[in-house]
Amino acid sequence: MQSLKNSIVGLHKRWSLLNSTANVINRRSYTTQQLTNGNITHTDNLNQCSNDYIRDKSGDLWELVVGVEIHAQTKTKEKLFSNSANIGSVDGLQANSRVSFTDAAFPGTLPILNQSCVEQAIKTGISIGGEINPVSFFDRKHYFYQDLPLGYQITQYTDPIVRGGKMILTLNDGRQHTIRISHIQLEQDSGKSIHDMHPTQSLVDLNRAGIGLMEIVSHADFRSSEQVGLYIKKLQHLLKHVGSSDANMQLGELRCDINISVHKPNTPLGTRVELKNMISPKAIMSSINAEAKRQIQLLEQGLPITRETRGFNQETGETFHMRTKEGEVDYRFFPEPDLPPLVINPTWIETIRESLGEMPEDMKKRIISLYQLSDYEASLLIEDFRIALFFEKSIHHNTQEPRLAKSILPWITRDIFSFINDNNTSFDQINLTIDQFTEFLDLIKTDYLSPRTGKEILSLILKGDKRSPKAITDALGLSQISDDLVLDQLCQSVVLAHPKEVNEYRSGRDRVFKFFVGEIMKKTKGRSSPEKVNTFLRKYLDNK
Amino acid sequence: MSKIQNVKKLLRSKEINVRDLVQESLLKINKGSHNRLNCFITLEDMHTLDSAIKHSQDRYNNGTERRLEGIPIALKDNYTTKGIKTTCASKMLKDYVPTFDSTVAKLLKDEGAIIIGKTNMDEFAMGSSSTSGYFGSVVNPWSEKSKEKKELVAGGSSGGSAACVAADYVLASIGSDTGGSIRQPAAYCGVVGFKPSYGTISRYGLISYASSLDTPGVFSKNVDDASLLLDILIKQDMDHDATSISSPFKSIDESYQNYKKNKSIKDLVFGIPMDYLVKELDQEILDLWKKVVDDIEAAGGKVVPVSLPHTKYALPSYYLLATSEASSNLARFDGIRFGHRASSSTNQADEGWGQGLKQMYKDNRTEGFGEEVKKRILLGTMALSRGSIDNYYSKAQKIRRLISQDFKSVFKGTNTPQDPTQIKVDVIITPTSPTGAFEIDSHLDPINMYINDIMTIPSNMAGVPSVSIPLKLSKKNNTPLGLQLISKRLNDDLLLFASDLVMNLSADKEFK
Repeated sequence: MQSLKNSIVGLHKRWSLLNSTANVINRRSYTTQQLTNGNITHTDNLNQCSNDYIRDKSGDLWELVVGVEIHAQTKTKEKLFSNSANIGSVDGLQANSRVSFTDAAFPGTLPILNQSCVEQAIKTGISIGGEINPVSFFDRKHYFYQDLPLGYQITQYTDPIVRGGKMILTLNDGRQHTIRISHIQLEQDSGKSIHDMHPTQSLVDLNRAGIGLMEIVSHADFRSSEQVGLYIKKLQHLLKHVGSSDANMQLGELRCDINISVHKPNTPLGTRVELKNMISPKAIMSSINAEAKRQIQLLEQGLPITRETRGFNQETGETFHMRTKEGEVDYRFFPEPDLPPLVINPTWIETIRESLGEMPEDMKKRIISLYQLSDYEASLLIEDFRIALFFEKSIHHNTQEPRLAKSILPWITRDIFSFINDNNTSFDQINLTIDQFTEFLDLIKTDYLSPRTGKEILSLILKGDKRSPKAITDALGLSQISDDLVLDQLCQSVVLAHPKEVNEYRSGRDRVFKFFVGEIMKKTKGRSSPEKVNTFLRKYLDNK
Repeated sequence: MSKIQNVKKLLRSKEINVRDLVQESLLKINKGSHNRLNCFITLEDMHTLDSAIKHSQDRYNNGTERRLEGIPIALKDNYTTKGIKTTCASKMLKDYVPTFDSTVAKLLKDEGAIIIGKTNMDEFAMGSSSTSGYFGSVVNPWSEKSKEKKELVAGGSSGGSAACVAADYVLASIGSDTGGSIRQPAAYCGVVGFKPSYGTISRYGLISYASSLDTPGVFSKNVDDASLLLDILIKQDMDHDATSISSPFKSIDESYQNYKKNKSIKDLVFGIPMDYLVKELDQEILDLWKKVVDDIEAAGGKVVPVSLPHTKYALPSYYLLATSEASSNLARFDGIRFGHRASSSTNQADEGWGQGLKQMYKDNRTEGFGEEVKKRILLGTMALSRGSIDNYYSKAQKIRRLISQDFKSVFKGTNTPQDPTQIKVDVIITPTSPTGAFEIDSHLDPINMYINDIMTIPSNMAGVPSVSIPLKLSKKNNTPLGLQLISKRLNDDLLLFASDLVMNLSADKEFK
């Protein structure tokens, strides 16, 4: 909601959201069910839901109604109906170099369904809590275009592979909002048309033609751009988690179509407009805000909304007309006669379900209660489930007594995360074994290594040092001075060497104590335990 | 009986050699004038076939010959053949050279067959006369022997394949049957034309007309040869055709031979569907139908009347379903990646965004397709359009189911109303078409043309195997007349057996 407010208020001062007191009421009485039971003109809930409304200058309330269609490329070696390589997002390959006769629709070719694509769709279906249809069908959707070699797209129109499912979003103000998913259908990607490389001709690259897509279609349950942004990010996370798609938007592995309309509460739904070709969740949210604003302005002036497809110009922050729906072709859907019904054995579904393991939400709940983590800490960990698993493993690895979660977390969420971010890498690509990490944790715990030098050691390991943390520490002479006698004598000599500062301290200037600590740290090059230094210094400073 | 086996025996014993066999075939084809009956769109010659001939001869010489080693076979021009032009008798594909072999072509080659040419047909297999193609009409070899000596059609759409067997150019050929395109030309040309159960022979590389009805099949002079070819071609093709199925018989030929050894006509029940007694039926064909019933009964076989009540809806629903699928299957012929590119469409950039593209589609397809194809694409497009699909395509699908159930109940023995014993029928006998071959330039109106398929269409709708066998010569015109036999789905072996029995029983000596 915040971003909607910013963009609307920022661009046009006459727009504002309802004041924040509404939020307080909301948290108490808002329920998701009321919003998403299909009855979207709900005057009864006006107060409860008020921060999902937009108020224009004249004080009128407008409600945003958005549905989202996501196209995610299946993470499979081969295409949906041919055995040519699914190169997904790989750039730099020669155009039309990964194209079979089937992809190019040569006469006599027929589609053969790739089982791995089905498996990925089932995984996705299970992960959103959908029903896997034991029998589903493929249909043909006809239109002529140069990058659609068959003259039709093979898709699932009447009986898709997955029905239902939902995503529960936690909004920034803490409320929960449920998005119902209508279905997931398996279909073919088209080729790419390139219009800007030749002055008079369009070029066609069929490398993408025939790659499997999972089209995940939501109900029109979104009431704000924030919800859409959260939904897309959450879905991306889920697809990566179950491994059914790499879901990178910049690379086109995940694409998003937005259906958006506005209306006044308790009035019929408005005319919907389709938004296409946005390349990031952020751009999608901005485009929704811009389009909502445009539609409300038109309606306020008494002008109609046209059914059309619009794009989004990130530079101007405005949507623009692409094509009208009136000129839309009749797709002439009919059952694909080259493919028998897709019959899925229930035991296969169960095998896949078992292989999927824990879903992110369940994992989050479990690690919160098991290790007393905060919601925020748990969210950070499950962002990549491999990190969460690594965290869990480091608690019990090579030890009788479990390590404390609180002592492990900062190293992961601070040091490891910042290394991953700074180096634009991912957890599975960094050099850190569970042996190294747990040994490292134990060195800290036993004071062999101070937390300060520990940071350096961990950084060295992350950068590729394959030695054990102890070996590195010893080689660099960075182990903490843990011989009490040495430290005791050092403290005594420092106190004796600075009579002036001792007097200042004893006359009540506590700050001088830091001077003595600093001196010890200088002499030990930071390798002394701060608590022990404190104890010994106090002994010589206070007991005279 | 098998002619192929006999020729192979001669090749093995060195009485003839492969080169002479192929040479003789080509000489016959070109006797009088090149490709005289216009059976072929593309015809190989001794030069292009040289290495295949040598290879086959070597295999005979060292005793490693395969089942069709050195046997000339003709393939309908809608099966892709690697490196050999495949046109579907269309201007759209007049110069199209495929980069891969259809499964049918591959299986034949793998058994040593020599593909001597690609046969003429109706454009994209749409027609019943083999006169609609870009390369002209096929002439029925019986034209010269007919009383009026006028050029007769060979039937269609596999007219070239039927004619080249009838003219003794080849011992066997391959056709495809969507609504009768093998059986009807077989009847007109006086040869055996066998359409097996849908799904038993791979459609990979068969350029689709109507995917759910298209069935590859064979032409031959006798049932034994048909059986041998089917034995080679019936094979599940999981890597290339998702509608290809595994057949219940390990070897259809073995199974057919076993029937011949162990069973007789007394073990079979034949059904006569009264619903096929249409007003268009020629009297001579009706007489033939009756005579065959008498022959069977005289030989101790059982004949019962059966009812296929939804037959009368088969023709209209077929023309909706087939054209619907065709309108979709032919969408890929846009002239962009292959096929006819209109010369006017090369530079349309000045027409604005997308307009050049649309115009190119229009020009390519308007010029590339013939009239019959355009007619069917339009009809199918209409049947699938938003306002019509419920009334046309969907209704036709329901009728298709009813037709399929008609056959099932006859073969299960639950639908023989005039017979209280509700006996299980093995084989249905009907005419193949209401008339024999007609004159090439007889200009039938489309409806009369479509009626030619009235007897053959129901088998395609139900996916059941059916065959046309030649039995008699018309007294009126001295041209062949045939009957159609239909059996239960996947009982193709039994159908072969029954066809052989009926031919032995009732066929004139010309056809034995």
